Amino acid sequence: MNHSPSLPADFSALCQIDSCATVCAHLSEVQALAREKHAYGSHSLPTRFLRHADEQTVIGVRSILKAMATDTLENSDISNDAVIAATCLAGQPAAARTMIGLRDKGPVAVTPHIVPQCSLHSVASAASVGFGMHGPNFGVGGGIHAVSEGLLLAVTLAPMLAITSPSARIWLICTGWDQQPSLEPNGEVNNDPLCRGLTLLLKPTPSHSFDNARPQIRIISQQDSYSRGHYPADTPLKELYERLENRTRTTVAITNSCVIEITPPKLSPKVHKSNETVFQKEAP
Amino acid sequence: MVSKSSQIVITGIGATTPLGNSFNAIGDALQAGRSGIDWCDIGTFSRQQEHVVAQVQSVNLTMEKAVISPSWRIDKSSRLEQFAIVPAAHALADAGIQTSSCTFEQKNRIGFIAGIGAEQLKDWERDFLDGGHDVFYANRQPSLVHRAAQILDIHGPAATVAAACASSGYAIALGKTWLETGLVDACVVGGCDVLSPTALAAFHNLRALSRRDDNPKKASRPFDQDRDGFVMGEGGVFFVLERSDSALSRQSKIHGVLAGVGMSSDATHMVTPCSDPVQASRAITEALADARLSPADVDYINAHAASTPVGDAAEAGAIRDAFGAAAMKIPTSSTKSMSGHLISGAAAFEALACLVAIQRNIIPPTINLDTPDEDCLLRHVPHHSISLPVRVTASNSFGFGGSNLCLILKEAA
Repeated sequence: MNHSPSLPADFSALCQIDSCATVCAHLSEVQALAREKHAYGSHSLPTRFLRHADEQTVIGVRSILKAMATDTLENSDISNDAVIAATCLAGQPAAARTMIGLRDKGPVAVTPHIVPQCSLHSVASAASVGFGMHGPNFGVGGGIHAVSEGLLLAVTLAPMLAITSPSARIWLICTGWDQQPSLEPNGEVNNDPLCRGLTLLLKPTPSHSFDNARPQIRIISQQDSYSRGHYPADTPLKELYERLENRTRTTVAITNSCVIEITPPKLSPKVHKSNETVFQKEAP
Repeated sequence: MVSKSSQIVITGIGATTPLGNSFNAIGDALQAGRSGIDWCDIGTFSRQQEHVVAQVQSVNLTMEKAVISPSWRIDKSSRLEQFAIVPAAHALADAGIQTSSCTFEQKNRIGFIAGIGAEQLKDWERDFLDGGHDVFYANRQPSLVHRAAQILDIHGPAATVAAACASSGYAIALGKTWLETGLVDACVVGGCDVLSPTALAAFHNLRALSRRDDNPKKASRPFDQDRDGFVMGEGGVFFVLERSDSALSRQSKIHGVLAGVGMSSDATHMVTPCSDPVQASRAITEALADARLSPADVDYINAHAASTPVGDAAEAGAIRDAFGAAAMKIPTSSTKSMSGHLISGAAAFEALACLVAIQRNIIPPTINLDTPDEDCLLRHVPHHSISLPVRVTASNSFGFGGSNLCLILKEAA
């Protein structure tokens, strides 16, 4: 192996941010959200598509719809887009109920939906299936490093996607609970935590297009970062969510020497509902 | 970016599988057409003491002390941890990378991507079966890939990826991008999974598993007209990927070249593969294009074919669509007939099977393929392996959520 610094001098991994949206809801509200119509423009989910979905899938899908509303390319073709979903400890209430059922009633009580709907791939797959995106779809993280892993894999997938589908973009969805649901021994939930969803719509961008003022994410050496807000690799989604709502440049560590730098769009927050914030680009 | 003349090569292999725990042992089993499937006890709450599964019988504890932290207690770790850490350690040792003698900077340049589809579910279940309550509170702790990186003393970027049954293939494909962009100099990639009562019951209730309980070794029969579902397996397979210039400068042995990857999504259903082969075929075509090869260059196709009625027929259609006239000339087999379906670890296991084919110049068979299904017309290799020159292989993997993946592996120049 070479003895260069942690990133080679010619290293470049960069994506432009075409849209950014945040959504949050309390656990008690998620079921009602799942039953709502999920549509924006020509993009809509089939009726009852989310009836077996995990809570983080519901919030993730809502954040995609909100990101569609502020996409800089209106009515764009998303059929070749990729979906990456970085989730943290998803599927917990369903897992608890399933295990209680398995213990008390045997295998017949295990829902067949637990694997397809409550695994690490589920949010990305629901987005791919629901919106007809044929690029790669996969889940990332699963644990406390989910946000940094999602950002990392989105930026590093970009060069490959730029070759195979030059017009395709990447929908990066990050979801997680502020506090995990707390369950009674019978599987009943006894708290009402907030679930957050953040979608970044990313366009793979060649390194020569780098412009420090543009909304983008990129991997850089920690020493090259301009950001004042530096977060560790296990930073919770809540931190990034609030930084982006405040339009603040942020870095998230991926190793002890490299960071992901996020320069969010210069935005006018437009509140659609009390718990759903969409950013719109300022008029030029 | 990497120089255009540099290729991504495999310099290390580690495996813990139902067919053995070394490249040679697994190669012997595949060449002999030996099944790793049997009746096994997989834990409590299943109401049925034993199931037809492909279980890992032992873990190779011959640890390379230079690779693994002495503080790690294998006897205190879960099977999932063992199936990740042990083969990853063996892969590093096989690649000649001793982290204890690496500089801080060199450790920063080794990445780790693990394909693990439902790590938290497996952790919660294990604790619950032991009488614990983790699933009720879900304590936040680093995921396995980060714990494993610490134990293996590698400090580069690390990530878990999941694309259901294609998870470890996605890990391999994404490791290639990390090397090509110059993010790392070496990357541990692969995946693992464990048998679990919850997953077994869930797949059974989905009617995805074979119900052929009378003769375990005949249960997994990909492409056969009497196939009725897959057999769950477990295990872990990891590789070390490097750029060829880096590997050659270290004078590493090169097991094979990861020449191309292709990924796509059906985007039609959360469980059922699409009957229209266009997207699965696209993954194969993109992998061939990435490898700068044509269909006729491929000497062996390792099919995903898990032995499900719908999936095998859909894949056969995708192979015919992608390879055209060459599809009926290229020997094709499914090693899941012997290994069972390693779920998150399946794609990595099947990449290993391709390396076996390349190094031994053999085509592993599809055992139990007594009567090929008319909907699965391909050039099958039933029952027994055959000897043929193998330079280029294609390995398909498909997963729930419509994930499609193809890896092109070829012999080292």
